[in-house]
Amino acid sequence: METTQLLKGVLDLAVLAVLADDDGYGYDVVRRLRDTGLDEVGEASVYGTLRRLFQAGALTSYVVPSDEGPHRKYYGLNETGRERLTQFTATWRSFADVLDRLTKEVA
Amino acid sequence: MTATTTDLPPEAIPYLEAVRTRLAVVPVDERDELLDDVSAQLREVQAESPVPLRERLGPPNRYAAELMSSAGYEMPAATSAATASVTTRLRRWWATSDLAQSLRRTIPQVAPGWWVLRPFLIAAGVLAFVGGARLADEPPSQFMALLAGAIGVTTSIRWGRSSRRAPDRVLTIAALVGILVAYNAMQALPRYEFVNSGLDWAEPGLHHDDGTPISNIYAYDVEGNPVTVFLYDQDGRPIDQLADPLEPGRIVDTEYELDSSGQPMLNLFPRRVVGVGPGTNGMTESTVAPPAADIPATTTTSTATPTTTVPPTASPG
Repeated sequence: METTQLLKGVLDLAVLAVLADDDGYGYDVVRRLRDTGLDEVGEASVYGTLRRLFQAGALTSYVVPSDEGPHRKYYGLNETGRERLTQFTATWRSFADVLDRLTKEVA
Repeated sequence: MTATTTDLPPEAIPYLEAVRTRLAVVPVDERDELLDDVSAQLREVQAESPVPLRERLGPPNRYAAELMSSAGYEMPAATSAATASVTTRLRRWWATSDLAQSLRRTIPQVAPGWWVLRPFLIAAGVLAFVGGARLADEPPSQFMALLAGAIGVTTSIRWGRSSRRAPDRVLTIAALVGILVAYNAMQALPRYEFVNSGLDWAEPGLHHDDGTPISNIYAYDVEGNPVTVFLYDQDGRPIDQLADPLEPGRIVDTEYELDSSGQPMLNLFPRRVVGVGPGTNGMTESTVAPPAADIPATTTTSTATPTTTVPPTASPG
């Protein structure tokens, strides 16, 4: 349960980071997130996040026709997206630092 | 652009449809984009494993809820269509229906025409409001009118194209108000109606407003005594163009008194109208009787003297 809550907050960052690596289509992004260890992430959440980031102007989107089936819609980072990723990463780092310090005594 | 269902495996189609219905509050264009992604995923998921979609992805409404919340939309939840207020439903319809979508596509195409038309509507409204009469007294020169028109149209177009919505909205509202005001003013104008009482063609001669012809004039002095008069208008012209007399069942004709040089006095009233028609002893000729006239009672005891004296021998033609 906690993971889901945390995930909601950082899914944007995770998706941006994955796309910074390489452009991807919806299900592709899901797979890459899961492969890296976020196996709790739901497909619907990823798609919604992709659309929201696109609406916010952080992503580009293009369609790639494929021979073995229908087209695929790819997403990629644009300038705004890269900036957002940088800022978000910095925020995350400082946040993680604070949490680390707070929990130093715990375990 | 609707999500392609053509190459979906058959089991996936109802799932996609179920998700689609639950995305009802999402604007159509966005909804299609989301469903595009979803259908692509359904295809891949089905290809990956035979596990049914519901197990694999969860029930459609949970999927849709997750989709909506991560995409930043509020779930309608308890606000069912029936309980939503009128404005909410209207807004929802505007955002989601296909008709609204095609309307939205058409509006940008007609917008430039509207921008040009607006200033004239506003001007019409303003004119109607201040009363056209004022402008009739001192009509603006053609140059001023052209200048005002050019400024108005340019401003309207510029504001229509600018990214700031407020000035554009103000102009549109002003134009709509202008239409209302001008329409209202037109309704209030005195109507010059051509009332027809069966006499549509241009009947010569005097008529009442309701179309009844006037074929004779009976005059009485202020004490109620019938008098014979010559009538002239404000310019001194004789009033002699009356309608032809009509009597049901009789042939009537006007007999004019002759002046000293033998000319008929057409503006001497009351005229003598003689009729021929069936009577008690076959065809009889008789003068048309004066009508009953409701003469108002006056308190003046002295007779009013006419201020314009016109010689009785003024040419009656």
